[in-house]
Amino acid sequence: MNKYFNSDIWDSFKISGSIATFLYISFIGVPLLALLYAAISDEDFFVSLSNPMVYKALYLSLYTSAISMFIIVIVGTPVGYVLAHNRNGIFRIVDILIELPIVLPPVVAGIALLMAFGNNGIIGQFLSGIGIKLPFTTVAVIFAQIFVSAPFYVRAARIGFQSVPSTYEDIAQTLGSPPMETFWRISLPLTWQALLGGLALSWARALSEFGATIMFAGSIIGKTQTLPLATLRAMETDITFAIAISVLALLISMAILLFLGLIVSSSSYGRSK
Amino acid sequence: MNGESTHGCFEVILGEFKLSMDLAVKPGTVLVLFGPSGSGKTTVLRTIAGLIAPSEGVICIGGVEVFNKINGVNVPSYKRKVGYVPQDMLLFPHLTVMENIAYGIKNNKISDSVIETLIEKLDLDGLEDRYEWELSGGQRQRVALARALAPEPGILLLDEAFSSLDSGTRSRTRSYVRQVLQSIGIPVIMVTHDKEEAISMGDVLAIIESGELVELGDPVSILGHPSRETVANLLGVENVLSLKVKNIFQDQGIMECASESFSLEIPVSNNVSINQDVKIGLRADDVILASVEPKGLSARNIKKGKIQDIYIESGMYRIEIDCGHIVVSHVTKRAVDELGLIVGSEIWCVIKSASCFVLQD
Repeated sequence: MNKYFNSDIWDSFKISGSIATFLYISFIGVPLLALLYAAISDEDFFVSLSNPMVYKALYLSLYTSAISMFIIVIVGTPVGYVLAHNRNGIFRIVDILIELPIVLPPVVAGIALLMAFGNNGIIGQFLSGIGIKLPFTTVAVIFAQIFVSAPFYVRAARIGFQSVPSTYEDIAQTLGSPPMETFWRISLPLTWQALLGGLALSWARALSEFGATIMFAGSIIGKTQTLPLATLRAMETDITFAIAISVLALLISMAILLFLGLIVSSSSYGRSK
Repeated sequence: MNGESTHGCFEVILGEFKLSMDLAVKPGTVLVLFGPSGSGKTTVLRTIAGLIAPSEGVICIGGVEVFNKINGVNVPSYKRKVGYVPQDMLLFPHLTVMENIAYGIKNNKISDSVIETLIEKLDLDGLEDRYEWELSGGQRQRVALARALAPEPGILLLDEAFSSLDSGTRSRTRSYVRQVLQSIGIPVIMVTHDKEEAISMGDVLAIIESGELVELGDPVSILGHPSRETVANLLGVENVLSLKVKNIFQDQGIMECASESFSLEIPVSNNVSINQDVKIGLRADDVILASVEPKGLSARNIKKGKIQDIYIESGMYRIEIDCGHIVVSHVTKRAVDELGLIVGSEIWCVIKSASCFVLQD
């Protein structure tokens, strides 16, 4: 009998696994519960929520991220498709470059955006020459969100399109579908779950975006101050504000998580059933 | 080549692999591409379908030139009117049976009747609203075939279309398909490495080895007299006997098949009638030799014959015996030594009925 398969060791392994799971869940759960508890026990919670700074930040966060997502889907879907169908040479390098913002510190991304689109930046100097100033505007918020969150969607789209067997596309073509029609009738319907999953991740990342935004767009109430930025600003003055905003952010995150879960559970055409 | 012909003479280069082909198929006939895996059979189909571009040559489907290197003709896949049934990944998983079949045709009155006819012909009634995972293997094959036929293609390409089915379903699906193909009358090119399938479906057999067409002809005669050892190995069946059904003993489960000088008792096969010509397949490994007349055996066929030829083939001795019909047997060297087998000596062949099978019904 191999000692590694000894049942006593296995039992203790199972017990320690259970303890680890409990500890991990507590580690995540306790701070979140503490946040909710702080919100509930605060008499001024709803007063704080009705503060203009809070709902302005919420509104700004939702609408800038919605625009970001719209642009990401329109541009990112074809990019994902092209990358899925070209897996060699230059496309491999492009693939790595596209995913770089995922690992790049957001503050660095913000500085990079300033160097490009700032008033003295490579592109920014021409833009300011014709009267367009991007830094510290709502457009800058959207730029920052797209820069950091688009890779999540593009990556998901690339993997999604890659998972569609090329045989399906071949058959569709022999049945008279030109490539574009094949994309709409075969590739896209077989990939929408992956695309929605990527979109949810990307959206979550855009909503939580902080570093690049504060560097490139600043923190101007009603203009560039999104929920995470408002949380920090509130923290400097009144913690009840900060808590109220944090609870809002938590609720939005949970909604995204729920959405993700729904996508995953509506399994892929039941083939694994 | 006449105006309506479907033929191809082309060269494909894929990395290290080079394929050169010169093939023609008549409407209503089935050309079977037979060969070991990696020989380029699938590449031939994909090239005809327009999914791979040849580096040289001409491809013509139903008299229409779809590829011509010299004239720069290369009709894209979606305009070639090619019915293609691949080996796996058969049906679009997000579409129902009905939607799959209708994929390649525009919605109108005529298309509805085409689909109805196909559903009826391929016995798909009642499955219209099902998805791929709700179908059996045989049903999927038939839906894939219906989908390929619905746009009324000029040629049908089947890539090991029956290989994933169990043998019972396979022969049933095969007979459906054959009936449908006969009624449609378009050229068919079919890839298989199943010898029974090649014989039962093919009108012409092309043997392909490492990208080259090595043998072309009647499937049964290629089987009967393989001109190359590799071909014989590939085909697996060493004995193909052309006989006539003389008697059917339904109660005993056997039938008697004979030619002028040779007869065999074999298990009753469906779809045959008395006086029908049949081809009987028999593996050389299933023919037992005896140097004296054997007695008290259960085997139904004991034939006396004369050894015509002996040679070594894939590690075994191949003995050809004339029993009124040439019968091939495989035996070991020890058996050759112990029985003293030499060309010209008399020998008894013992053939179990159950090892004989009807190749064409």
